[in-house]
Amino acid sequence: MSNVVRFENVGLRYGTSAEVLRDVSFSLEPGTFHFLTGASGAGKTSLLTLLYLARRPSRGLISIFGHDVVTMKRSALPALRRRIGVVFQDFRLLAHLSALDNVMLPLRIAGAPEAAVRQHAEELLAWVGLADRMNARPATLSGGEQQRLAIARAVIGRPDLLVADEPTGNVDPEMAARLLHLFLELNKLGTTLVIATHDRSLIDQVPGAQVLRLERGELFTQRQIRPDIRPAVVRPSPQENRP
Amino acid sequence: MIGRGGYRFLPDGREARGVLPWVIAIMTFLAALAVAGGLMLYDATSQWRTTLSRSWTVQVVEADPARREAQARAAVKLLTEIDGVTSVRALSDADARALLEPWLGAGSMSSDLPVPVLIDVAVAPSASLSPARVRLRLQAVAPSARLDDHDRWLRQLGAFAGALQLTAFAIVVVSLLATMGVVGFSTRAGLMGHRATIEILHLMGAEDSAIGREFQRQYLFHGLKGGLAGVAAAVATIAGLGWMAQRLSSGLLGGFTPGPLVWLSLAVLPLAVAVLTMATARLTVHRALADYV
Repeated sequence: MSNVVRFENVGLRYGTSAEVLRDVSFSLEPGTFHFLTGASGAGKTSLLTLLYLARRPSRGLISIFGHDVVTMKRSALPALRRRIGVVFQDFRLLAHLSALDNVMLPLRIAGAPEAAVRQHAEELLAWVGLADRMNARPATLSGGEQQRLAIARAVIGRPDLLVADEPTGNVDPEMAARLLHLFLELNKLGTTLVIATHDRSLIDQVPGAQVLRLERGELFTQRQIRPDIRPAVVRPSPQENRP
Repeated sequence: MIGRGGYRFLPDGREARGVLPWVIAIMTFLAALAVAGGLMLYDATSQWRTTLSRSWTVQVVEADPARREAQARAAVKLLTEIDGVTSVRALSDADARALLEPWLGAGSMSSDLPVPVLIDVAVAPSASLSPARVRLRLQAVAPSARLDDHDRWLRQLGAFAGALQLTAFAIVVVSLLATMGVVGFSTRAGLMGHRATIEILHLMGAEDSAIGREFQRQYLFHGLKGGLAGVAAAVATIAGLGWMAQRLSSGLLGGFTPGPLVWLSLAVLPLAVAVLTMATARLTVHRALADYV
């Protein structure tokens, strides 16, 4: 089975500054679960932007769903983006749309039938505890509610790859567990997940997950516990290389 | 695709909603006046040309009254016999002096002052008379007769009318270019205002054409609204000027009234402005989106 994501010697710099990502190489297989960790400024969000095709790398090769996205034409990118769900750290909900319309957005963009989209969106909003806030505008929702709405929007299309930046940062532990359950269900259906987080307890709740750690723009693996879940192929961390 | 089923993903372009239709209306008003003016001028000059080409004037310029009268009678006789000439009328001395009064003043003309005999000649529209040949024949019977077929004046009039029509065309082009410029500027402002939303739509897989359609729809509406307002104002202006021209009862201004082609052009103009506005917005959006990843 081909990789969902493959990075080879990827480097990223903004303008003429120093590289924020250096020689990043890894690959993610279908249906695998990954956490991305690292100190603030280590390059997590930059790596995620490459994963959800918001920018192209300064150097190296990136293959998403078997397509070389570095040399790919702009016109071919939307089809790949429709297969990727994204939870942004700052949610990036559309302020002029209701919660329901925000959730329906990915399926509407994909041209799904309106009736099916609405029913699916309502069920999903109920699942994340926003059944009574469907017509509310994002500005009237709390931080936690906005985060759940952003997650619902990211997963509604049942994407092949889900990229989430601190998806449980603003919710209580109970809701965090519920959202993690949603991610695991999605993972069981075949979605490859990459979740950037500082939350150690969240990582500990998914023992089979691969942990990718960024340090000053370089990527290392930290642990691979459960052999039945295929791990990401990454460079070993410096600590693991030590005798 | 985005936008199917009449669903809109971008909020209304508030930055364009207020001012843009007014600017388009002003530009359309100027373009409509220029289009109507150019077409009416074309009709009027055609009418003047037809009228004047069927009318010649013969002047018998002779100081001696007896010879002048004799040559005038001979000229009238000759002209009447020419095939294709429908009427020949020599103005009386009093009528000729009356024509000069506006320039020389009433009662200031001495009766001794020789005034040429003016002969008004009407030519049939189908006649193919050569003014040069008629001149030669006139020379034989009335050496002091001068035939004016208005050709020089018509050529000058034609050149002036051509220049005015060119100016009208330039005004139309400049107005439409200015409209495109304003629409382009407004579209770019709209793109800037909606940048965050457009980025999200892009990341969810929306295509440029889908985002472009959102702008096209808005700007088509702005263009139609402004175009209709501008043409309505122009129609009112033209109707008012036409009414004033008719009240003058002038033969010269009689042809300067809007014909069917003018009204047809004015009916089409709002649609043309709307399509131009939409196309400009679409082009601007696609060029700007090309800078996105």
